[in-house]
Amino acid sequence: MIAQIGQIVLILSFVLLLPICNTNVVVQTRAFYMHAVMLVIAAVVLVAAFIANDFSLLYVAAHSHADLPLFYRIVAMWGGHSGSLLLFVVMMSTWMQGSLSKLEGELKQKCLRHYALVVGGLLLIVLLVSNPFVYTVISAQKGQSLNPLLQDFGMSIHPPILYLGYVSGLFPFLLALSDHSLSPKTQFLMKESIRYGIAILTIGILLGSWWAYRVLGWGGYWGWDPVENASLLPWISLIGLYHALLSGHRRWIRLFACIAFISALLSTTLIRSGLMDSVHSFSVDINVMLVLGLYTLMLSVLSFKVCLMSNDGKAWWPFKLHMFLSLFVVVMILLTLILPMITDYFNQGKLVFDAAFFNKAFTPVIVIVLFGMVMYWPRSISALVVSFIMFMIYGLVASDWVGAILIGLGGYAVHTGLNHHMNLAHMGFVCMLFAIVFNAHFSSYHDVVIYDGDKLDIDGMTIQLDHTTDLKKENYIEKQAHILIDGATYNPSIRYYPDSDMSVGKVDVRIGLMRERYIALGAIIEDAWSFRVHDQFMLRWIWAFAVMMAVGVVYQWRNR
Amino acid sequence: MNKKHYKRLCSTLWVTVLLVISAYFFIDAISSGMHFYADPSDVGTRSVSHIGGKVKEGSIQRKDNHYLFQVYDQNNTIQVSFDGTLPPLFKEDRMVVLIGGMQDDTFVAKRVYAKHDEYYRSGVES
Repeated sequence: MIAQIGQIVLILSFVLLLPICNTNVVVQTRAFYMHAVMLVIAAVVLVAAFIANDFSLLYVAAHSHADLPLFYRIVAMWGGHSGSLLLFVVMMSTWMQGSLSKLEGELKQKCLRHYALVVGGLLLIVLLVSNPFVYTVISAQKGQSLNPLLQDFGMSIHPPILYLGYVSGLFPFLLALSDHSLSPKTQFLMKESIRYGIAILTIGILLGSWWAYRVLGWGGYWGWDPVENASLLPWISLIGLYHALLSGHRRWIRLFACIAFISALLSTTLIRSGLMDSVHSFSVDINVMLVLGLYTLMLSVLSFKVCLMSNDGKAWWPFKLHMFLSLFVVVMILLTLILPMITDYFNQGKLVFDAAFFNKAFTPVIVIVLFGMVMYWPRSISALVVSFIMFMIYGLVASDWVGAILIGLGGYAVHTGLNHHMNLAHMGFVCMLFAIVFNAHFSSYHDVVIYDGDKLDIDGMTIQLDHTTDLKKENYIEKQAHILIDGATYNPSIRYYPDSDMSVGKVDVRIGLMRERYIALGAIIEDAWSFRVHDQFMLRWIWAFAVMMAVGVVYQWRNR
Repeated sequence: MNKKHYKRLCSTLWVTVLLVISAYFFIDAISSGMHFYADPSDVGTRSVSHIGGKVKEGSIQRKDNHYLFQVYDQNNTIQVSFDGTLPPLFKEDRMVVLIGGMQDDTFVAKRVYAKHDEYYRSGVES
């Protein structure tokens, strides 16, 4: 029953796109609101199916389980491809709803028509290729359960926030398609949409990084995995678009408005469709690939027409450099995502780009970015003095010079520049880079293999496996180790989920101001417990500075 | 040569220099970070650094601070040695990805990953 309701509502929302293309603005607006409401109902129905454990829906059966706690049953709605695509579309319509009131007349009509075109394509994919409401008459008893790795708070809220960030690119894209002259008002609207978009996307990526760090247990915050890289595409292009908007160069605005949205689409659809080959994914559905490819091609053709329009005046060369660099990085990341698919398709083997590639390729890029930032930096002696005093005081009091550099830079940030908005965002970025570099240089790890009751000395650390315990919980069996390192107790564990026949490590972390110790258990072989002890340096600071960057982007109080 | 020509020459030179430098970095990055996935059957036919295969049942053992196990596909089985912590998802008869290099007849892995599908389920079939 639920499945049929959902299906009907979803089809209705698609059909309602037709009156959105009407010539009467009142009809258009009403149709749009109806459409948006239908979409929300469809999403609610899907969530209801998850709550009610309706396993006649294939999607629910594949991603939920009767024993799962209520919170994770709700979250399982975006645990797979179809559901997350539906969520993406719902968010698009909701964001559009918020922006619609700021538009009027001709522009509103055009925007709505383009909206119908863009969302129509996506809805068609949801309906025909990847439908969450597909059902069977003979329903499964239990369901295959949500993947244990995804049963985590970080992963539960990460996808919606990320999508919300992606979706912010839709409105500028529609505006670029609809208003060819890009009037100042249009540019202002774009800027408002994107400002929040960048902040939300930054937080979204950060949440993903936090999740990977805690749950995947490989002891890093970023692994240059294709899934992670894909989220950088919209991020970089949105930032490019924001800077283009600040400068007012219309050719670049058009170009990046198009790139930002298309890359957001690519990232959402590619990640979960299983097209992307990574440590994570493997199956290739040729149907999804074909439809998505055609759809993206259509949008690209549409935007290509727009991007060819006239240029206006000469741009300042650092600005041009910035634009070309952003373009280059986007294309490079895109190639690393697409080339492996192409070589695999032609049976040439699967290409992999590993961390070494990205580290090397991004170093010169970052140098140029920093150079560009300095070009914009208004110089102020008093700020330099203030920041130097802060640097000295902190350094002398805490005798921690690394932290002192950061605090000095932070102080410089707050006291210089055109406005706090720009300072906070840029300095957040610069300080994040510093933290990343420090983290890479001062972090270390040790591999330990130990038997129950043993005591080892490794590099001055006394490591003792005190005892181990077996726990049985609702939907998993847990093996916990009680490890003593230099007097402190750590309790990392491995959880075995019988529903999905999977073992997941649970790490234990002790966080300090600068350093943190992170312990991840490995597979237990022949009664030998193995684990990796990471000493991470300034890891939390990377995230803190990313938050600072996000705050800086939305913060616009008291412009000097 | 007037001033306009001189300016154009200068900017062309600058762009060329920048392009050459960036090309150097890019080629360097590609040569150290771009690899092809190989199967155990490819061992011996070409140099391999990334291998994907299934862990052979009953082959996992610990010896001299190393894990030793065998990875196979339809045609070939190779011996792997690894010094480090195996991921919790690592299991017999499951797919793994190994990064490292061949030394004599053994593949010395620097990293071992358990393979997932797109729902992060550990891969049972290839």
